[in-house]
Amino acid sequence: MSDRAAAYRPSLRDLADEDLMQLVQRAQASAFEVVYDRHAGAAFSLAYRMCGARQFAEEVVQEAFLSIWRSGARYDRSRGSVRTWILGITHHRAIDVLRRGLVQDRHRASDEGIEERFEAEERTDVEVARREEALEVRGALDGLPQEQRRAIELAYYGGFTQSEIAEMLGVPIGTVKGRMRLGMEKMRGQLAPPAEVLP
Amino acid sequence: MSERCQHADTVASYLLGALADGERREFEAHLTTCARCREDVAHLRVVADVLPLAVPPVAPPVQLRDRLMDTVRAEASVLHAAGPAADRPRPARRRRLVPAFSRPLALAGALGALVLGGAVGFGIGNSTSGDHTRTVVQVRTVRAVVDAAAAPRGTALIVLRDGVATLRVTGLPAPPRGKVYEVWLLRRGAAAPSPTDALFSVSTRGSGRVALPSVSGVEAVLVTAEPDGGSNAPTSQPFINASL
Repeated sequence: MSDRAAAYRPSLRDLADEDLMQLVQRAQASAFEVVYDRHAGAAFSLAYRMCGARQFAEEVVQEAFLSIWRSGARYDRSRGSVRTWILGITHHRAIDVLRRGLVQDRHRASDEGIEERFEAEERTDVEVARREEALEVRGALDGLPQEQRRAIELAYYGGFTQSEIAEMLGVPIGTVKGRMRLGMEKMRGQLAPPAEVLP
Repeated sequence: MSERCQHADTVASYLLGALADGERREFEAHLTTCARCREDVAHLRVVADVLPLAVPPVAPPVQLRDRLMDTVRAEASVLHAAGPAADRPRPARRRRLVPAFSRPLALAGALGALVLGGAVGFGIGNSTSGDHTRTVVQVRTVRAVVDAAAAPRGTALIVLRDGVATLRVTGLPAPPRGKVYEVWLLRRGAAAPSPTDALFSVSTRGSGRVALPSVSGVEAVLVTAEPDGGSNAPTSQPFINASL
């Protein structure tokens, strides 16, 4: 390629996630690397929040990203952003780990006040915007009645099933379902419009 | 607005991942017939999608990135070496296994190619060392002897990955017209090799792979050229022989 052509060739880091995923589907490791760098922080944070320990969070993120690398063709842009897709896979993997019983103290993972935290650096405008979005979501969650917030947190971050939550809280399963539903409805109202995950 | 469905409250449980596997499958089946619940799922999915953002940020360790990218680069290089065929879907009919490079199989072969003749810890399973849990896949490869008269440039490798054995060949001529390559297993103590369903041909470049049945208790893996459809007893001398 000539110097002129090279000058016009966009860097991988300039490409949108959706375009990078097309390259990942063609087994381009450097494109995958960019995808990892963009989203591993959010994935690791979620896995750490759910599992409560670095070793399990690492296992979850490694498995999630390897499955993304090996099945990149399954990404469907009509169903949401790459970030949402990756975080969904990470969430499923973390639930697998939690339900396989590998994490001994699940209550810890689902509680507030995890002792060990490693703040990610804010390096770009996008990350600052994400931080603001996180605060908005956190605010919406914290603004829920305590029993609704608790049900949502135990389910989403704790990986517990609705039956397990009902047993833990000593309430009928229908009550748990109702609390989760009401909580999500309220959050939906506060987050809209628009409630999109940043690219 | 249409009438509320009796499963409406399950929408939140579904989106939050709070259904057990059986419940989730049932609800997903229900979604195929209930437009109201599908609308609900679409409406509330936004909340589930942003919940990951509400967690305290925690930076992933650099070692995790290094480990992951080592694996990814290794797999990418072998996939590229395999060419476009690496992404071909696997044929539906097992007995006509042919240049069958499904991507996972190509990856399995990739791992095998990287660890010729040796055992390596690489991927699935948990091995904790120090502060880090590493996912490890046990991969063992066995290089087979290929008869130089039948295939002067031929190579053959048995890849044992998570207990699943695959034969990977390169540089083989196409089977003679009306014939197919057949894999045989010589079990310990047996006088004659047993036939298998593992029949294969090779690509125009001479490469191919085939999944093998369990090789537990097997002393050697052999390959012969047999009439189309395979034989119950070898009709020609094995030209590939892998001692396990």
